[in-house]
Amino acid sequence: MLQAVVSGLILGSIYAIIAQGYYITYITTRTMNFGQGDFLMLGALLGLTSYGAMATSGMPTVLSILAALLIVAAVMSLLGWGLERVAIRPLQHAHSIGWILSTVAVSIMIRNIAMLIWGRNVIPFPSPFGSEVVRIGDVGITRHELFIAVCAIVIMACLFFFLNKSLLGKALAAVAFNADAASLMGINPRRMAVLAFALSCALAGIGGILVGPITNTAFFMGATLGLKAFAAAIIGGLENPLGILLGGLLLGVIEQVFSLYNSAYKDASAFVLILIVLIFMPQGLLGKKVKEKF
Amino acid sequence: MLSARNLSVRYGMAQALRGVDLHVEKREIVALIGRNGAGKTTLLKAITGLVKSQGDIRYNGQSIGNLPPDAIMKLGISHVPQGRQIFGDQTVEDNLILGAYTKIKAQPKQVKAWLEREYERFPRLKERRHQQAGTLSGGEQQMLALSRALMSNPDFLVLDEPSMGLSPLYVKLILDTIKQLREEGKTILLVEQLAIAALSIADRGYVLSSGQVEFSGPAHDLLHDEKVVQTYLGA
Repeated sequence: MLQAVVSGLILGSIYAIIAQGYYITYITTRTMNFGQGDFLMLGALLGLTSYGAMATSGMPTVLSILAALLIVAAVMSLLGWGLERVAIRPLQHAHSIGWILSTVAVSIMIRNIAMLIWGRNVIPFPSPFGSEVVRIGDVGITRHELFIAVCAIVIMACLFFFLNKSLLGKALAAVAFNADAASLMGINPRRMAVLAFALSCALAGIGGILVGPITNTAFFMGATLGLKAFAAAIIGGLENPLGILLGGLLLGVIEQVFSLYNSAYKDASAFVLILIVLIFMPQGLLGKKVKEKF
Repeated sequence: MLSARNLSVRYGMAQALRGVDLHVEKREIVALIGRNGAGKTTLLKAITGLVKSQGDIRYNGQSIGNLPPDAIMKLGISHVPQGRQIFGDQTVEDNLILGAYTKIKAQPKQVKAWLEREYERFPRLKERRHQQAGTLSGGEQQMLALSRALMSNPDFLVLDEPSMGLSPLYVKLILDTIKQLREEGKTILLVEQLAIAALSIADRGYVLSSGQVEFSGPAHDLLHDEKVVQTYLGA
């Protein structure tokens, strides 16, 4: 049981990282990348390939995984920039929901391109840290899971610092609150939108590298993960990064606990959880309810 | 300093401005008055790039008609929008810092001095610097909006109904501040519902009516023009 909770927390922290990507683009542009899952898949495959290339050329493990993380983050940011220019900006009128379709379309293209490049088969993604298990009391944690936990904490800390303390984060929040007023401060809302999408896709890519060794990698891996991360964002409250973290962790734990009894319950439990949360707390667990006075 | 010629704005089928001519000279306070829906706010938004307009707008000789708001702001025009539009979910100090967004990287020391200057102008803001801006009273929010606009140290200020919804005491404070800003060398274009109050601190005025300039001239003359008084200033 405790084992299931711990692996659930690890899995959930990955959901949370991916889901923060939804949050960042949603608050700045009121749009989201519905292909987040496929960007994650691309991150995983790209990470696997670049890590493999560097590891075989004799670079030390830690160095090559850090380099792989950096490469993936950079490439994904670039893709995020492209996504905003191609699929969001031209379609983002006041009441247009065309961006839903266009981001899904981009994700289908990415999925098929990935299939052409990496093939149809599931590619094993051996953890760079080996499959050794660390025992803490009754609970066994692989070294890769420890790595995920450390990464998740570091990424969340960076993200919270960036959003709440840095000037750019404040500008992002200003655009989210009132884009017109922000532009009167000399903040370019379009540039902020690009930044948000670049960041969001980079998070998906990093999530992909982290999750790869747990689920193994293939061109179709993205759909479910993207959906789960979206569920985490909805459960926690789309406009609250802390809520999203909580939503991700909760989702991960519930999934793992239910799969103790029957692995078929795993996915079902996740979506039952969404239904329950949405019925009783339509804003999500930590969603905003009241706005300021005027 | 700023001139608009033959300025027109359409919102879909509705024509909000029809061929407006307007100019503002350095260190002037120019008041824009008129009924609701006359096009006052639209005119300000056209100048600072928030709405698309036809015609020619020049600032210090440079054409700014097709620039986006963030580019116009960088030329030194600061717009305090109607309804204050502060960032309610951030602190008072963060709002002020965002006002200096374009300057803070290049001149961090200057920005710090400007922040102190604004805290001196409105000590109430200093008291509440760590409070969420959305929890301020209406008058305090107006101070914040004004100070936020001044944080980039602009030459030209565009003020859209700074007195809206304020108690008489705050209205006086804001109007006194506007006069004082002219002493500091700022140029001000002011839209006001309180027409008499606005004209009494202004150098010149324009009266807008259904998107056109109906009267214009020295503020003192407008205040004593029988027609203007009857239609726009009366009781």
